[in-house]
Amino acid sequence: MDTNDSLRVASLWHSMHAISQQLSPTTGCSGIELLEADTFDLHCFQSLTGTKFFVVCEPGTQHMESLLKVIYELYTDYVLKNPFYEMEMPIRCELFDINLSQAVQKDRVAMLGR
Amino acid sequence: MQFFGGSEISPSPPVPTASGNNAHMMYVFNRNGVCLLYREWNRLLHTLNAQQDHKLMFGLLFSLKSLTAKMDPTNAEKGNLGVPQLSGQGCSFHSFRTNTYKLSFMESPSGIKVVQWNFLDLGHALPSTSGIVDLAYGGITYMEMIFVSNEQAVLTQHRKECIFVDLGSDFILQFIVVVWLVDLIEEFDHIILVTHPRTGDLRESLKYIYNLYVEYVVKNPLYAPGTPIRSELFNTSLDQYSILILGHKSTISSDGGLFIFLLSRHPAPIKNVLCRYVLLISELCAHYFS
Repeated sequence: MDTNDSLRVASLWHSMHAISQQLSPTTGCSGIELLEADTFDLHCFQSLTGTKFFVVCEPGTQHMESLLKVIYELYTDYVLKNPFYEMEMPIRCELFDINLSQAVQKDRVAMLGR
Repeated sequence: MQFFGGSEISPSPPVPTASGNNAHMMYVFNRNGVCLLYREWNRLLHTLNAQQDHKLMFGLLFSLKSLTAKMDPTNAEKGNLGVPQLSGQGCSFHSFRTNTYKLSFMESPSGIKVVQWNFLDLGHALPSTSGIVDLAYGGITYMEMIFVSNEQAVLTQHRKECIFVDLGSDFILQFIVVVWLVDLIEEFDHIILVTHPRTGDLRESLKYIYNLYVEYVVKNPLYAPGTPIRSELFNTSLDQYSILILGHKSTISSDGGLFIFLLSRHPAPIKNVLCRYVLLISELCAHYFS
């Protein structure tokens, strides 16, 4: 999937998230947290500012919420605190990428251990 | 395709899953986006009028389907976003969850889409849960709940006509309880357990509802496809099925207890029967924990 497609998917997801909030039968809905499809699961985490992080994983994977929180911390540390990063631009911070792969690797190992 | 493994329509609905569910709204759409059926058993918030609500719902489902088809990691060849997918083609989602509700979706090969909404009721504030139950069943004259502390049938709390059952958060134990309480159905008109927040997989339920649709709507010679459904038989069987589904719910209280609601339309001597069952349950608990 190339960058344009990822951007399209991301904006589609943003609108779906908002619509699901509007369609909620009760008050206090904060949008889609988990989408279960046939071949994958999609976990989404929304920060207080409305930035959404979503992760695609195998159906039935547990503990994705904690991974998403870790990723959120990495984002605040390596992206937002980077003085050269412009808001709303694609993220091209090397440290973020390195730490992200490390976090995912660690999670994979931890999952195999469980 | 997994769809064709579905069950035949049978006079008695399938045994509900252990975690039960808490259905509140249901939509059925055809492939052109016409809403054939909309049922609600309890809906606290209406943001849009009916027409817009149906259109928005259909739009959401359509877009989510095309999103999942695009994001599918197993499929090498993916169409573009926004291209309408045929019913069986591409990966489709079967449910999504937010913090307040869970939406389950099923699409038949002919493009009929069945959508079911469930509340994730945490069962904290009992007045609101009994309010929900009241709304769903209007005209309930008598309500009782049982409260049993772990491993012992002790009536620790009695509140007006209410008694609570608390069997802890052990899932296996809950399952045993539900199996036992299935027997109670024959005794009462309606039995309701309020839902576990972690609602189970509802695909079997949806398949059953689809079978009902086929039997009572499609096979009806007077029904014109694409028009809203006005079949009495379909509505009654759907109500019965939803009552039975609603009849098997359990909820976890904030301290991990399990609340079970039992409702009846008669102010019959429920308490005696319930106490008998509660003792049976406690024996089971004792046996399980020993």
